[in-house]
Amino acid sequence: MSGGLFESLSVGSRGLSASQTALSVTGQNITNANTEGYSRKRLEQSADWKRDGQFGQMGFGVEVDQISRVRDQLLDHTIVANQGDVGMHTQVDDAMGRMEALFTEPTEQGLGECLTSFWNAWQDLANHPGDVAARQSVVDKAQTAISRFHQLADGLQGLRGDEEVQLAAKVKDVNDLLSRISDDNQAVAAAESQPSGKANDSRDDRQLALSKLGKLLDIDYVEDAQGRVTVTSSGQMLVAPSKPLPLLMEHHSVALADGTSFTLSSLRVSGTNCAFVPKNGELAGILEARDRIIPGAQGKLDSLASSLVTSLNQLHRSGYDAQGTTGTNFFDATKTSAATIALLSEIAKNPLAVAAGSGGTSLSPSSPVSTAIPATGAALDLAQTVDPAYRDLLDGSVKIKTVGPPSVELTEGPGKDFVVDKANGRISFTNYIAFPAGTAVTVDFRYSATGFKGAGDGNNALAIAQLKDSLLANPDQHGTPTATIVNAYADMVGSIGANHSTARSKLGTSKSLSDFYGRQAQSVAGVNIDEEVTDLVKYQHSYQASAKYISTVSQMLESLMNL
Amino acid sequence: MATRITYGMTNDGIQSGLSGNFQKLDHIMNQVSSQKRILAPVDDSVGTWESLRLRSDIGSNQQYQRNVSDADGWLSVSDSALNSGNSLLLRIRDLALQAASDTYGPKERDANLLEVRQQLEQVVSMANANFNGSYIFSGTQTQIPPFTLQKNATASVAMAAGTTVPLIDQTCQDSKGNHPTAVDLLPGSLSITGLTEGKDYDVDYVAGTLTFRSTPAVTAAGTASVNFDWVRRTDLDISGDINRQVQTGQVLPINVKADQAFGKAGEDVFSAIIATMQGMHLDDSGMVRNSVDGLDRSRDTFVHAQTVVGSIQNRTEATGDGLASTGLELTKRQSTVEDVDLAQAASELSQRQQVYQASLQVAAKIIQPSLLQFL
Repeated sequence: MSGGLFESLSVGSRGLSASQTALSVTGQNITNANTEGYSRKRLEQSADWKRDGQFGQMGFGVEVDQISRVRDQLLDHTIVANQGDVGMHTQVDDAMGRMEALFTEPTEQGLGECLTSFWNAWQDLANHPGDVAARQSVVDKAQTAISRFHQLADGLQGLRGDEEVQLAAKVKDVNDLLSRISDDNQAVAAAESQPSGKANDSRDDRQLALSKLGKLLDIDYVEDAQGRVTVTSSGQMLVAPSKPLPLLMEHHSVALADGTSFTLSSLRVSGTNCAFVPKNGELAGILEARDRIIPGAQGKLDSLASSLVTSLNQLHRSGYDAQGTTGTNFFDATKTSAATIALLSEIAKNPLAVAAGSGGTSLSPSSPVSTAIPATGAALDLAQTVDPAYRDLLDGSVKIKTVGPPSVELTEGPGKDFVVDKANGRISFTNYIAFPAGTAVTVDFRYSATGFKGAGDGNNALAIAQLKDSLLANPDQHGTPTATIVNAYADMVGSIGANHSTARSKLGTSKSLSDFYGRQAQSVAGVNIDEEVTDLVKYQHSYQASAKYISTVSQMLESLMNL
Repeated sequence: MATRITYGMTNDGIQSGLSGNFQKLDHIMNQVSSQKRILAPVDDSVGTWESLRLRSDIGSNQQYQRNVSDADGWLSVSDSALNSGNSLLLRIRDLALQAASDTYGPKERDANLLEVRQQLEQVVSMANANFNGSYIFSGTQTQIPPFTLQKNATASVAMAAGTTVPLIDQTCQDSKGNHPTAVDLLPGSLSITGLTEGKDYDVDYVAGTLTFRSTPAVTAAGTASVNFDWVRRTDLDISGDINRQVQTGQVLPINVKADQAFGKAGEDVFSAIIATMQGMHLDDSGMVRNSVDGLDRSRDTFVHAQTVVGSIQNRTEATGDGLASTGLELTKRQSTVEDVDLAQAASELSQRQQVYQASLQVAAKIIQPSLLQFL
């Protein structure tokens, strides 16, 4: 004998309630179709039955088992692991892009063109060494190149500062996510300690937080028996089952070449003493840019500036300026970095101090030397007694006359009146009979002097201009320069471009991988409105049918009552 | 491939597709509007490297062309100066040959002397030829004229019969501030108050020395005040090289030095002319005749210097032609590396536009329908 009509009524009411629950799950899915991290929920129901002695198992309506969350946990792991690459390469690509923008190459405004104009100004000076405008132009072009060096150095340092600011912001994001994961851990454990408790929404939220954390850091996570996850990164625990372990920033002051200082931060996990170095994710990308990429470019730029200063100064010191002064530098020799490179203040103030002339040995006439013929055996030593410059006398240029009247000229030559040791500037008198010791004489001669060779001497400017084609930069392991300044600069900018290109293609790869996994996850967990609307219709029908069943049973009951 | 497709997936796909297409469209639009293929080094790092090298090479090339044209100017001025010096010497030689004739009388010789003096002044100004404010025969002392005609120089000389004394120019100072010894005196310009040349004293005009004779007018221990004109060669070293770089690693000296063009001090063109003038002044046809050899030697020196200038001119001309064609090649290469190929870019642009429009149309069709519209 089957159950009574009242039992049938109860079957119908269970059907109604199951349909209603299913409808509200569908409603939840539809309204959260666009919620980030939401995974669709499904109502799991089964047929309830009881034992019937006469006919075997007998249906007892529908049983709602649980609301389950559709999710692929393996895929979740993969997504979290892949996010790290995206984060890292996003940061590196961003930093390289900003560095490129700083160099503005290849354009007329870049340092390359500034240096070309600078070298050409030296050529113009070599052509017109007597022209003050040409000297001024050398100084002006040097100032332009210097200010470009400063601009680049300041810009690079500014980029490092930006990375530091970004690091602080990202560390705050990490710590917020760590607390959120820990809070979700407690919620999951509490909900799931109940029999048949399912912490669907807390798990969704925690998974979203993990995926965001994975973009910031390289993380690994394991779930324990109570449903709590522990998060580790590079061997350090960041979320313990009971609490989060936030990252701390420790500030260090670093001195810069221009005398100012700069604050750099290192990371540490609270409760430990070791430095924390992320290996992947945005934090690693920021640190890579801050500690390797930007300082690398700074180092190359500094080495360029330093090569330029050293080599140009060396030549400049050997030259002669418009006033015949030698031995001065062109750049301030104490300032050899890109941030500090500067002209020597004398050069900046007075373009006449630019050493365009190479000088060299030239013949100079002496001032007539009035002296007396020394005693027999002693020589007249011009270099020692008159002027140390009086050496290297020109052959045949020595004219000795007695102070008259009558003024008589002495004859040079062995066996005649005097002989000359030209190299040392010594004169020995040999005719003491005609010209006895003590005779007043004037001595006149020409001698070789090293020095200024006139306002038309542009040979040092020419030598400096030729530094353009000399190997000055990129020293090898023995300290021998291997590249011209222009080549070194082109290498530097080219390698920034190449590295940026690599970073961009890595970013593209990791992004498309991440998109692929994202679609896979969406495919499992995402809400499809069409499906949900179909479900809506389905559950509406089943609700209507259950209601119809109840009204039928009710009519049957009425018939029974009216018997 | 995912088996279940949701609206979210379609939406993300459309968004990333549209943004990707628009990025490419934007990039090519930037290329077309700036006419540059490389907008940042990331677009082509090797191209950037080459472009920076080319820009530097083009800068040098333009500078070398400028140097060559400057050298050409300098050399043309040198050439025309030497050329006019040559003609002046030819005229002086004609006058000398006339004066060497025994049929010439003192008056005609004096007339020739006057003309030779005019020609000599021309030679001095030619020797001081100037290019862009630089004396071209002064070596690196370009602000100093190599030769100066000192007029009305004075010298005080102690009178002593029979001794030969050099004349020290009291009106002039050399670079050390001393009074220079005068040589190359202009015959006919020397006078001593109260004394007569040839009677009371003799002059060696080339060497610049005075010898008193033993006459009543020459009083022992008296001082003669001598007045004369002379050609002064600067005492500074004017043998420095003026160089122009005309190519990487190629530096050409472009100046002819005074010694090369005019002869060494003491045996230069002025000494030769003055020897002629001295013959005319002393009315000595034999002396004039003997001086013609010296004039010829000076002309040879001029011609030789002109040959040197010509050979440098040939080199700069050849280099200049080479530079111009290299410059064109470099600019062409730079354009290939840096500039966008307009035809290609325009066709790519229209292709990208079509792709973008197509993706917009498809997206608009896909995102509209849902089951809801049919319920």
